[in-house]
Amino acid sequence: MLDTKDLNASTETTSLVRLPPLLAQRDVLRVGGISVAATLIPQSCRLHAAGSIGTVDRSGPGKAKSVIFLWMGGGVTHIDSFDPKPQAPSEVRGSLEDIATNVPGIRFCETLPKLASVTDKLAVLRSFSHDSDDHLLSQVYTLSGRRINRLQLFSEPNIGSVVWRTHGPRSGLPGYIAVPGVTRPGPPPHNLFVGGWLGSKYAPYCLGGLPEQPDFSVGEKLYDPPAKYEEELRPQSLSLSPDVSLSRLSNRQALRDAFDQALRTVERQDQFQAAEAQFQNGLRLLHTPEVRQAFEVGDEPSSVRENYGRTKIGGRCLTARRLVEAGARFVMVDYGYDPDYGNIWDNHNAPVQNHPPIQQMVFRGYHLAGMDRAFAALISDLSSRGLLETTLVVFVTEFGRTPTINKLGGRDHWGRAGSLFFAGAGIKTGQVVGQTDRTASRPLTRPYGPWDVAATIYHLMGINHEDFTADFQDRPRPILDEGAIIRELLA
Amino acid sequence: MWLIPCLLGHLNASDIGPSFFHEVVPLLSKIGCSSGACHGSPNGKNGFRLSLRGYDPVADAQSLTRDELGRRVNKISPDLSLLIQKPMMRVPHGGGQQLKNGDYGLEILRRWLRHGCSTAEPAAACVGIRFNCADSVMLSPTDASRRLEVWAKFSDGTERDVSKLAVFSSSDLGVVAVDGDGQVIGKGRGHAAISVRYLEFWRSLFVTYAPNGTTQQATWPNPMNQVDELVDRQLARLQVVPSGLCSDEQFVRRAYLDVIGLLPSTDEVQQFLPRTDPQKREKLIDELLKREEYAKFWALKWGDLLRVNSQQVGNAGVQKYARWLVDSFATNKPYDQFTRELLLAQGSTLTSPAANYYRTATDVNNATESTAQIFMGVRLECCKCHNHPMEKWTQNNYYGFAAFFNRVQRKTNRRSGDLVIWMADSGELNHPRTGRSVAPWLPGIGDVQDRSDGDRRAAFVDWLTAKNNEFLAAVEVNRIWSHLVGRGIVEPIDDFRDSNPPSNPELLAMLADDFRSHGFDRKRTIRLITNSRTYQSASQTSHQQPADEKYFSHYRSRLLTAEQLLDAIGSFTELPEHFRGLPEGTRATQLPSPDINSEFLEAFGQPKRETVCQCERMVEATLSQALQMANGKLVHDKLSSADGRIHRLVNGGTSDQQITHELYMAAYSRKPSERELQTIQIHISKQANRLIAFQDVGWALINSNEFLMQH
Repeated sequence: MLDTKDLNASTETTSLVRLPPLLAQRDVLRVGGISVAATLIPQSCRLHAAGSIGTVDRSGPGKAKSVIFLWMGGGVTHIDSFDPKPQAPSEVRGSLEDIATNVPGIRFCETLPKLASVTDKLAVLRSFSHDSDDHLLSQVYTLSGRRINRLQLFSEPNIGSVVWRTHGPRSGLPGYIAVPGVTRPGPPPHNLFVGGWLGSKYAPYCLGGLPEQPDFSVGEKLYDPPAKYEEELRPQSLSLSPDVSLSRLSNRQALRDAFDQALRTVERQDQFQAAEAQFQNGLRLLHTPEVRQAFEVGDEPSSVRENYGRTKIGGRCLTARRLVEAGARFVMVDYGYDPDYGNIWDNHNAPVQNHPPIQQMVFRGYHLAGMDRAFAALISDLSSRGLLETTLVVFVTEFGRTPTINKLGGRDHWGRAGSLFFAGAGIKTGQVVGQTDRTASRPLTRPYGPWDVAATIYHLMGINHEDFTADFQDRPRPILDEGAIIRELLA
Repeated sequence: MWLIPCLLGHLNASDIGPSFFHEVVPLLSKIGCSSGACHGSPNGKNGFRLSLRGYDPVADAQSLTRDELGRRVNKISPDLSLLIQKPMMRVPHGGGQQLKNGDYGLEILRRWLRHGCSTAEPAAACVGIRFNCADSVMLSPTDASRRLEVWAKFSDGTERDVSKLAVFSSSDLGVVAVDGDGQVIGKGRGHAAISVRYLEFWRSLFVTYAPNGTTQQATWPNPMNQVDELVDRQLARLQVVPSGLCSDEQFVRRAYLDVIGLLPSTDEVQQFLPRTDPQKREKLIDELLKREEYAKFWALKWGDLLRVNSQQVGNAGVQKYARWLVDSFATNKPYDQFTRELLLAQGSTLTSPAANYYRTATDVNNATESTAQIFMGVRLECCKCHNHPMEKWTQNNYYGFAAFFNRVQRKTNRRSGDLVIWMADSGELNHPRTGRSVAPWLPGIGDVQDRSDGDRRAAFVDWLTAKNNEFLAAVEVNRIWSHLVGRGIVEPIDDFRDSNPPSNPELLAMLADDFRSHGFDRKRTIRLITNSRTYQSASQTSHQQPADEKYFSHYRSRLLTAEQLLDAIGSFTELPEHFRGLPEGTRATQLPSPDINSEFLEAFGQPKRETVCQCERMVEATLSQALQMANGKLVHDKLSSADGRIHRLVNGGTSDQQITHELYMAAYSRKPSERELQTIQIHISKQANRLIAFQDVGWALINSNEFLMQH
């Protein structure tokens, strides 16, 4: 067993040290100026020797301090966005043209003019591919990096949960935050944002927003909806009731502290201390202006708001940037299933969906046009603030859509091919990785699955995906069951 | 050169160097190479795979000497072998440096390589191991360390010291540490097991570490029953003085929460406190055990284990199964009968709700693992694929148990939401490794012949519920103990194994014996525990109870469970939560299933009931809990509602002091102290609005640890 002295000794030569379980529960420790990530000794390893086991992690410290995981649930059409096929037959190509980007030789669909102007800061992955056309399965594939079956929809932790478990929270903010974390695919509506076998305490902290608010996208589908329909993203759990001011909250706290004198004797117990620490943490969140401020997108100058777009996706991306700036470690922007609108990306154009033909829909503010504007603003904004060097941005959707436009003017599920992008910390940008065939039906190059995407994210966060973590029963579990780092993406 | 190993294989051991089976394989396990996290994982690591902890030496011989064109071993220049280069980190090795010059293990490997890497099976097999000392060891600061020797016995009658090849581990590193050479060092007051493994053999011994006698002069509180005598005996060994009795105020709150899950009402507290009857605590426990809330609350605990939720058993199933549980507790069904009804259930799950046991256990593996975990306290699932590292359970045992459940069949019928459980009269289970069919097997009995009457499970259940069965009673009394005391005598409560010993073996044995010899009467066990001084002790600790978390020297304060807390808030504010679709008055501690989707309950760790593990109920404090309590809508609405207690009192013409008094009784079951009254009076006087001022008091009370915790 390592004690602190051993820990110091072993960190002289290694950057990542497996810690005994008690230490591993805590935040990242700083020992002698070196960050020691709290990975775990699996049970099996712990049993095998009483001596210390200082194992070097091959991946070393991660280049990314934060991750923004742009999770577009529903399946974003790849042909109409990052993988245009101008030479394909018209039933595939449809009516859209391709455009040049600011990287010679890389062309996007005309739906992404703004992302085309920051392509030098992106690495597009066109050979994303896996074996499922099912929403729920592929969504859990992408959220967890695991090839799961139907019984495992809620049992496997999200990538962000593993990051939280490994690295802990930071700056008083939970280690994994979902903005807003309301996507509920179904039917029946399922919450796939779970800590799974890591335990519910590693489920993302979901901002939630206000469920009843009117939606800008209903009625007139404006590219640039008026401000009155902005989404409320201040988390309810951090919003004080009108009748509870901060000073009233302070009064209450003072009163509580006075009451608790009576129980001082039990303070030594672990559970008491943990509960007290969380309580103080919660109140600090409520009281700390910087933290509360992180949720106040209204504080941004109007020009910044306009850059992101006063849309739901724009507001969410801007909130993500503010959270990363405030020190958040893993932020998921979740967009796709809308409580008001339904399935934004799932453009089958079934009669009940009441969608316009997909190639018209893409120009609406809540569809690709809004995404293009929001993502491009996010990349530029992070870049101009110097945050892109330490922040990994990943755009993920569970699959692409069928190459052939269906009779109703929509496209259906297509697990065999899809497009994602990576940007920021540790990424070799201004390039496209992978290539699909002439109708964007399947990769011609090595296909990369959700597990490879997850392995790459873990690698950049300094987590060896071949390592083990421990579940809530303290049994060893591999970080990933399969998958390899996508080396071509790395700088 | 290549022929040499074969030729030498027939010569005696000293000529062929170290034995692959008896030295090299155990060594690779000892230094960690064949652990599950490293090369022992099912896919190996980095292209090199070993059997998990060396259970298959023949396969390991193949991977070491033949695979990768034999480059792992170099017989001519042993030090150029990957087998040496990797663990010494002379070439990059993901597992880090595991051997250094001068290590015994390094010498073994070098000698094995130099002698031509013989993988010949040894002539004499190992038949067992033993320690060179008694089965229990006492250590103290003046005698803090001991070297354990482990000796292996071989079939030719010889014995050898294998300490340097055996794997040692401690069940509690805070009590005693052990190094690779078997040197044990006392670290802190307590009682722990040291386990040792060599090949497939394991043993454990107990180590007690206590400071030299300091507590002889201290005043020890008197034991109130057998429980205390055994707790005190253990504490005396460890030189820990137990706490005295808690106050009546603490007791009444504690007993209500533990026995029926609810806070006592202010009336109930006021009835109890003034009673002068010396037996009043005992009588209160008896009264509580008769209440219907008792049955519902304990049914909730079992609902967690039996996975009662609509996804598992359907909506109708939830109602029926939960009802069956409540009835079982209300009638105090003997636990052996309860077990029999569940494990032998068959028929329609709607008409025989116990049959839902096999509905939630969807296949033979799940039925085997669930049964072992719930009724035997054994986590058997690892054995599905490999032998347990330090335990007696083997993969063969797993399939031997599984064979009892192999003929359970499930089919739907025309009634919606129904499932019929029935027993096939044939069908054998095949062992995945040998492919041969496995006979049902029982510990201490061996293979079991099928009886003519058909139901294979009966032999298992007869064995499990027999008076002399070592598992059933111990596991259930330990579970009851943990519900009441906040920590099992064995902890985790479903992880009984030799390397995880009970913190007080005599206590566990006494409770189990008492349970068995009194008809598996759960209420009796609850009475036995709750009438002890140990249960009724104060939560305050003294300097003579340093860091005792395991030996029950004082009451262990703990957070209320999700359901208890929601009910407590409802009771404090006089605004109990309503649950849609359930009868009026249903409390959270009486919910048949977690299907109501309460954000509050989820945040406080209510399990979804997807596993049979008690650990699914999260007891760790989280940020969202803190935010729910401090700033959540549910708490805010109840505190500020015009129908709630605070409004009623403030608008009822009651004095500040009376209001404070009632709020304290409702929250803590006690009167406010003078100082607390004063604090509140000052707070009230500073606020313009008396209602708001008392809402703040209410907020502070329910956010205080005295409210949130059971103590």
